[in-house]
Amino acid sequence: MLEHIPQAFQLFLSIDNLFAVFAGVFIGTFVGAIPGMTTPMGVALVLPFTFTMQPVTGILLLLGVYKGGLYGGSITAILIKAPGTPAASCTVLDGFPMSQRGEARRALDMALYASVVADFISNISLILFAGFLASFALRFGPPEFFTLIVFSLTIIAGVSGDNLAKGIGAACLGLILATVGLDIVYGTNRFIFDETELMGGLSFIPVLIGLFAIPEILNQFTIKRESRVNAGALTGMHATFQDFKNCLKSILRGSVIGVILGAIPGIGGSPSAFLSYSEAKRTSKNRDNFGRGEIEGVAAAEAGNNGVAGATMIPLLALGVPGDVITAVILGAFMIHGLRPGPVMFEQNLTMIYALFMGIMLSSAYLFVIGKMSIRLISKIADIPNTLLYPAVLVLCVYGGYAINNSLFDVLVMFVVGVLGFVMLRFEMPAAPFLIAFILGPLLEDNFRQALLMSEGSGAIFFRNEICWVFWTLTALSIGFLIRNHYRARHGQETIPMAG
Amino acid sequence: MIESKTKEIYVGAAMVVIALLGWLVVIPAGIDVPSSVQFRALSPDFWPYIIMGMLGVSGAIVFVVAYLERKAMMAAGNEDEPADPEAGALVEHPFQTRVLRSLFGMACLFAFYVAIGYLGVVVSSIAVVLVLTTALGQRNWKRVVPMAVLLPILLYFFFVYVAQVPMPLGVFENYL
Repeated sequence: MLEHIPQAFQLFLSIDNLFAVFAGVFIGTFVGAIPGMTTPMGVALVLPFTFTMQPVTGILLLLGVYKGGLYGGSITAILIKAPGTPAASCTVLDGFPMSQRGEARRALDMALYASVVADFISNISLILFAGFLASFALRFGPPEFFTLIVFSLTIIAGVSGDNLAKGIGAACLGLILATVGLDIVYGTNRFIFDETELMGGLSFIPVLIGLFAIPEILNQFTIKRESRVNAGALTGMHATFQDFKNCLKSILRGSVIGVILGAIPGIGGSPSAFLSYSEAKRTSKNRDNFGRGEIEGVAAAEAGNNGVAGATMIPLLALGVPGDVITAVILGAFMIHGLRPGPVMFEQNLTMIYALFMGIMLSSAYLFVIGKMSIRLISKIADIPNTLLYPAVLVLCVYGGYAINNSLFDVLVMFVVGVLGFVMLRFEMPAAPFLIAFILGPLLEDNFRQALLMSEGSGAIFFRNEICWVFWTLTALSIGFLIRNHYRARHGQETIPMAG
Repeated sequence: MIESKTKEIYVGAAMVVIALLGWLVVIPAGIDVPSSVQFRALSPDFWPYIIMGMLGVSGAIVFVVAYLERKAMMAAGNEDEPADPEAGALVEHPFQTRVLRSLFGMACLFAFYVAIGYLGVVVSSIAVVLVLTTALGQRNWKRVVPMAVLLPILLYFFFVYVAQVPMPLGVFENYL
C-alpha cells in the first residue's frame, strides 16, 4: 500500500495538475459567487474542457470547482444577501447583518477561515475512511450492489424539495431516459426508433448541461426586471486571530457535523450548515446575538457547509455511489474518462486514488490563497448583468455539448432536455433527482439483471446475506424518516432543510 | 398557495398521462422483446414498465394530495395575495408575455441548432449572443459586441488547437 505513495506523488506532481486544482478552485469560487449560477452548473460547464486532459487532471479540476463553489456562495450571501448556493443561505443569517454594520471584511475573512479548516478536516476524513470502506465493499457482488444502489436512490428524497412524489416523478423521467439504447443482455432496441445515434444511449454531458444550464437561460425570458439589494461595501477591519480562536470550537464542531452528514448520501451542505449553526447558537456565550451579526454564526454555518466537501467523496470513491448531485456529476466525469469509482478502483488504481487525495489536500490550501487574494475581485462579479451572462453561458454549453462526440445530435439532445428541464423548473419539479436517477439507473438495472442471471431468476438472491439485509433495513429506515420529514414539512412543523 | 396547488394538480395529471402513454404506446412500440427471454424480470421491457408504473403512482399521489389541499384551502377561504413587486428580487412578466417570450427563447435554441449546421458554430454563436442579449434587454453595445465576437472565437481556438476537437464551420470551412 505504501509503495503506491511515491508513484502517486509522481503522478500528481505535474504543472498540469497543480494548475488544474488552482483553476478549479478559482472558477468554482467565481461560479458560487454569482447568484443564479449553481455549483452543479459550474461543474457541468467545465466538464467538457476536461475531455482531453489526463483523468487525474480532469477530475482534480472538477473537484476544485466543487470546493470553490461551496465557499464562493458565501461571498454574495454576506455582501448582498443573495446566497450563491442553497447551503450558503445559513451564512446570510449573520453575515449580512455584519455587512450592514460595516464589518463585511471581517465576516468574509471568518467565512474563509472556517471554510478552509472544515474543508481540511473533511479531506482528512476522506483519506482515513474511504480506503477502509472500499476494502469492506470488496465483498460485494451484484446483489449487494443492487441493494446499495436502491439505498443510494433514497438520496432522491433528500434532493426532492418539499414534494417527495414530484421528486420521485422526476427520478422516473431520468430512469426512463437512461434505458434508451441497445439492451445489454439481449442486444435489442430500446426506444431507438430507427435513430442510429440513439443506439449507444444518451450521452451524459448533453443531458447534464441541458438539465442544469439551459433551463436557467430560458428562465431569463420570463423575468421582467431584477431588483438587487444594494451591495454592502467591502469595508471594515479584517478578522483577528482572537476572532478565530473564539470561533474555533464552533468551527471544529461544524466540521465534524459536516463530515458525518456529508458521508450519508443525500443529506448535503444545507442541513449540515443549519445543524452546525443551531448547535453553535445553543452552546455559545453570545447566543442572543445570533441572527443579528454574530461572527461565530458565520463561522459555524460555513464550517458545516464546507465540512461535507470531502466527506461526500467517501461513498463515491469507496462504493461508487454519489453522495449528492455534484458528486453524481463527478461520477459521470469518472465514467467519461473510462474509470469506475468503487472498491475495484482501490485495487487496480490505488496510485490514482492517492494522487487525487494529494490534489484534494492541495485544494484546501488553494482555497485559502484564492479566498484571501480575490475577495475584492469576486465581490464585484455579482454585478455582471444576467443579460450578458446567460447568452455567454449558452455558447459555452453548445461548444461543450458538441465537443464530447463531435456530434450535432448531442446539441439537439441538450436543447430537448433543456426544454424539458425548463418545463420542470416552471412547474417546480426538481432536476437533481432526474440527474441522479439518470446516472444510477443503468447501474441499478445491470446489477439487478446480473444477480438474476446468477440465481437463474430467483429473487431470493437479493436477501442472500447480512450485507443485503443491512441495506434493505437502511433503505426502509431512510424512506420512513424522509416520509416523516416531508409530512412534517408540509404541515408546517420545523425540520432541518434538505439539500437543494 | 392556491396557484401553487393548481400547478401541482397539472403536474400530477401530466405525470399520469405520460405514464399511461408510456405503458400503453411507447414501450410496446419502442422496445423489441426477443422470444428467448428466460425470465420475465430479465426482459428488456421489465424495467421500463416498472418505471412507468412508479411514475403513474407518484403522479396520482401528487394529483390527489394537491387536489385535497387545494380544496381545503378554498374551503378555509385562503386566497392568494397579490405579488408585491418590491418584495422579491425577481419580478416576472405577465403570464401571456412569459409564455410568448419562453417560446421565443426555445425557438432561438432550435434556430441556433439548425444554424450551426449551415453557418458553423462560430458565426451562429456570434449571431445568437447578439439576438439573445438584445432580446433580454441589454443595450450596452460596447460590452455586447466584443463579448459576442471574442467568446466564440476564443472557444473555437481552445477546442480546435488546445483540445484537438474539430468544430463545425459550415459554409465557412475554408476560411478558418
